[in-house]
Amino acid sequence: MYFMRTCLLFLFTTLTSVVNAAEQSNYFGVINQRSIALTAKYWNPILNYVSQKSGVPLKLRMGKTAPKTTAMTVRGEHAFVYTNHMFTEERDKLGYRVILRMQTPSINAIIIVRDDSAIKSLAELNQQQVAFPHSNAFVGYWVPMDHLMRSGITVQPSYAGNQEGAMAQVHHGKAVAAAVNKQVLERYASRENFSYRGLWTSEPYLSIPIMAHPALQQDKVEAVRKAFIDMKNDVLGQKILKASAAVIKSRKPLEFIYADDKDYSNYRNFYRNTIVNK
Amino acid sequence: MAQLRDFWARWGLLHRLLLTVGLCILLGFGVQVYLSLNTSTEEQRQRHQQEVEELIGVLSTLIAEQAIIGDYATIKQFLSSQVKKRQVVQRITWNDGEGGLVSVSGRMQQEIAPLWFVELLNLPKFHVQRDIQLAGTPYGNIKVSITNVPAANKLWYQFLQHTFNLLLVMLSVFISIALVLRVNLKTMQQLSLAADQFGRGDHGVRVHAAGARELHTAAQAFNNMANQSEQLLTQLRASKQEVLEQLNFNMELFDAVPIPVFYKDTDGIYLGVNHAWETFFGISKDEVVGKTLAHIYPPDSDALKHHYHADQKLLNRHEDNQRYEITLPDLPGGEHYALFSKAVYHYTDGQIRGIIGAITDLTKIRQSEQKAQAALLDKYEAEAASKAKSSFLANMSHEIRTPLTAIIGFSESLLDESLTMQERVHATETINRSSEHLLQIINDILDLSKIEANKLETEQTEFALMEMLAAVQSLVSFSARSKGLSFNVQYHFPLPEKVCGDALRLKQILINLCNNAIKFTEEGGVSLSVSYKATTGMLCFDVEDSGIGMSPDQLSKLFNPFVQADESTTRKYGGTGLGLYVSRQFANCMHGDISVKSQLNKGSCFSLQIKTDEIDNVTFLTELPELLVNKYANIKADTGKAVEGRILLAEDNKDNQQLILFYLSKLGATVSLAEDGEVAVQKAMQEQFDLILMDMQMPVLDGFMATRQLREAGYTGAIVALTANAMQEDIDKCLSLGCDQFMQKPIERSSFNAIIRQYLAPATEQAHAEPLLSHLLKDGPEFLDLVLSFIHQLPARMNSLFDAISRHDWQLLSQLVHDLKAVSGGYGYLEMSDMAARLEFILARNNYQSVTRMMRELNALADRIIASENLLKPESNT
Repeated sequence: MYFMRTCLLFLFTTLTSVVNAAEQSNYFGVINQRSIALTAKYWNPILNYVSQKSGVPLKLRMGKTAPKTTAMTVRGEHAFVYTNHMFTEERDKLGYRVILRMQTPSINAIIIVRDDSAIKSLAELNQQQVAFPHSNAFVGYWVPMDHLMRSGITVQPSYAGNQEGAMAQVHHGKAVAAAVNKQVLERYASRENFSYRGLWTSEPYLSIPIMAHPALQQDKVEAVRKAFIDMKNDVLGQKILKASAAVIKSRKPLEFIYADDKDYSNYRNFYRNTIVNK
Repeated sequence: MAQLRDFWARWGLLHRLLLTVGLCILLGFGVQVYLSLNTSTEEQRQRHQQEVEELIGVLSTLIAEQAIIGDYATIKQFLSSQVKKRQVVQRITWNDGEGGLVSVSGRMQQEIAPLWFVELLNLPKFHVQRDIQLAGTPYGNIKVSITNVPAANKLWYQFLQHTFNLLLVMLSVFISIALVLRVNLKTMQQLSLAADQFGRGDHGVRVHAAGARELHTAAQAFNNMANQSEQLLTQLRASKQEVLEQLNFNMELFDAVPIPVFYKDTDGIYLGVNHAWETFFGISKDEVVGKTLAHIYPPDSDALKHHYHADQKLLNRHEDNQRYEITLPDLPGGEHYALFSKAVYHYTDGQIRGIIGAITDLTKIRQSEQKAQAALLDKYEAEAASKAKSSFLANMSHEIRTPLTAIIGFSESLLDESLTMQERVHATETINRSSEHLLQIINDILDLSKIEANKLETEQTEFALMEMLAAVQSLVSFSARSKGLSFNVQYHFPLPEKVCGDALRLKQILINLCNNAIKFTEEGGVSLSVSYKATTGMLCFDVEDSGIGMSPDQLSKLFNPFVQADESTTRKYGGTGLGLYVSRQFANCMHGDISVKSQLNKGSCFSLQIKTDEIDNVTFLTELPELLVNKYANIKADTGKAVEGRILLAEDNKDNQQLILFYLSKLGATVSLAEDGEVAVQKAMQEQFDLILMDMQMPVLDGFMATRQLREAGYTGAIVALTANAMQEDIDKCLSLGCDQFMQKPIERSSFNAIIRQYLAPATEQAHAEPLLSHLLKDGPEFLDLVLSFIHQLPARMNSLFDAISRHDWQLLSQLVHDLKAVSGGYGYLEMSDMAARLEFILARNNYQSVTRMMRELNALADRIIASENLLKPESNT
């Protein structure tokens, strides 16, 4: 009981502090897929627009690495967060809820080698070093590692810190293979003229959602959701989306659409059934 | 200001230079330092600004990223590292905009530069503040504060270094200037002293060339100038003396010029004259220098006016020089004729200074010119005469050669055995005619020479006018008839029976005029009209023809010697061009003249008038005497009789020997020949001769000497001179040496025969009555029968001849005579053959008047041949 009270108190305090913190800074977290500068260049215009439209000031805040960013999210420092790392059993319990997602194709995990690699199958990756963005990456670690483990393939993971970092390791030969977000890979490959070969591709998962802190007031959440969704219908919003897409060399502007937790049940199911870290 | 100038003037070059250079260096240094510091300050400021901007640029991204992460510690580290790295950065402060502040300060630096220098630099302490944004999201602002202490310290060090450099440079420059100038100033001082000395007259001073190139050059230039100046002064002194000598020489030369020379100024005032001028005008130099023309020439004289106007032309530049001739009447020695040659002379700047003139006395020259002109005229006349003579000679050559050609040619042709008698007669007549023509030419030439030698003389003897006219008519009629023209003589009575004059020359003139008329007349005739003007005693003869006539231009030169009417006349009609000239000369000698009237293509009329001396009791004829009528029939036939006697022919020329021997043989005379005068004298003294014919031109002893020797030896026989010289003096010489008569060559046969008959008796007929034997009988009696047959036929032949004569059947007679010639010659009767040939020749010439005589002689010869029959018959020989 005491433990429960303590936990609840801790949780309450944390959440409150988080809420307070969240309310005071309205930090918007973005899981580390690129460099911080690039991430800022991509998100800041969007966040400024949404801030203005919603009346809810949003400020990009993230950690140096994806784990640190996730840790910040776990600490409740993010009012809103663009991540798919919160679907683990433990983090799911924190209560972040999905409010939006990008209208992008589903994401897939993909294990790749360089196009000129001698490795032709996943089995040949056994005991090989494989680059992962970080251990928290869903399609960048959990899904492909789960498959490797279920396939009986033991690899030596190396963590690049973010998606493009893992891709870069394979691109430049530091790793024989990498497990990354396929959609992110495609944009990277197009931008960096990287020829690769996929050894395995996972089932599609919806793209990374934008989640809101459970302590945020709903009206604020709704305002923010609406601002994100209405961007595509606004001239300025379209312009910003187009500019942001250009930052990451995306051909199409990344519009935001409505999403909720139900859309990401498969994430949760994976985390419940995965054999990674077990 | 004046004091400053004085002060400055007392300063030497070195001090001035040092001060100036020092000031310049200081000024330059100051400007350089100022600009350098300014530039450095600005550069510092800009560099700081740039550095800060760069810093902010670098930090902005880093700070924004770290701000996104929220890693303020990293931000502070960034700022600290930058502050440490950049001395100029005093502080960097980042304000996150949410109350967060990160500030880092740098270490304080020691201020080395003095305060005044820092204030002088006015280096700004500034800070730069920038807002940090990343993709439009603000991440606070950054402020960088800059300190000027390092810049000031750096610039101070630069300043100190510049100052040190300045001092070093100034010291170096001063030392260098001092060292360099010292030597050069010394040279300049030497130049100054040397110039001063030179100016005071020390022309030998020179400067040692030392120092800079310019001073070296200046010193050398001074030395060169001094050398040249000294040389020039020396030359100047020499030139001055030379000029003085030259002036003296010029004056002496001026005076020595043999022609008058003068010079005067632009006002006409005489400035100088030479001795010749003084002599020419008779006025001394002292009297005329300073005076004008009016002092020399009489007032209002032509000479004065002329000279004055001439001077004005020169002075007014109408002329550059003049030459004019002028008569000066009032000079010593009388009127002079002078050539004035004048020109202007100038100052060196070209202004006219005066007039200079020379006078050439042309008086003697003019006289000489006149003489020369006269001589030239004479020369022209002589040349013209020579030219005419040359033309005459050329013409004469042709005229002489032409008949000679005919003579030689036809003489040669006579040797041709194929010639017929007619051809022989024609050739002989041509030779005779050409010879007479040639004789006429020679006579004309001889007459001309007499005229030119002024030895033309005419006789004044009484002669029968009618007989002379008859002779003319006889000769001219023959020529006229030969050309188919008529010729008649018209007598305008009364005419004197006898006149006193030169019949030969008168006849010659008339024959010349008439022959000319015949020559230039192709049809019609010629008439000779004779009249006498008792009041003036002039005989007038008019020869009128219907010939080609002459133009006035031709008439104008008709009587000029060697000139015919024109060249075409000479070419067409021949002639020497002397006949009329000589005729006129003869007419003039006879106190008369020849005139002519003529119309081209109509005819001419030559009129001869001569003055005849009065003859006491002269009879005037009113009609033509009968004797003359008969005499017209025959002129050329020789009616003379044969002679007998001995003649000594002294003649060296073979041809003349043959000719005279022929003539004498025909006359019947016996001839002895001597080929030179010496032989002639010997023969004449040893033998008896009735007559000596003495050629005057012989070798060994000429005729003159031979005659003299004979006369001195007491020879009294007749001596007739044969001479080709027609001059009277030669004739006189012949007569004076003892010749009884002279006979002129070429020998005219009738005259020759007449003279021979004067000294030899006529031949008796008995001498010609001896029987004549045939030459055939000389070889033997075998031709006797032939000879006798010829003798028997001879009477019949002779009768046939007489019969033909009686019937005037000249053709038959010619044929009979021709046969007789051949037969008699064949039968050895050469004398008869020869006589028959002569008769045949006469018949061929149509000389029928001589036929009777020849027949008489032929008949006499036939009688002698017939008489020889008695001697040839055999009965006669028993």
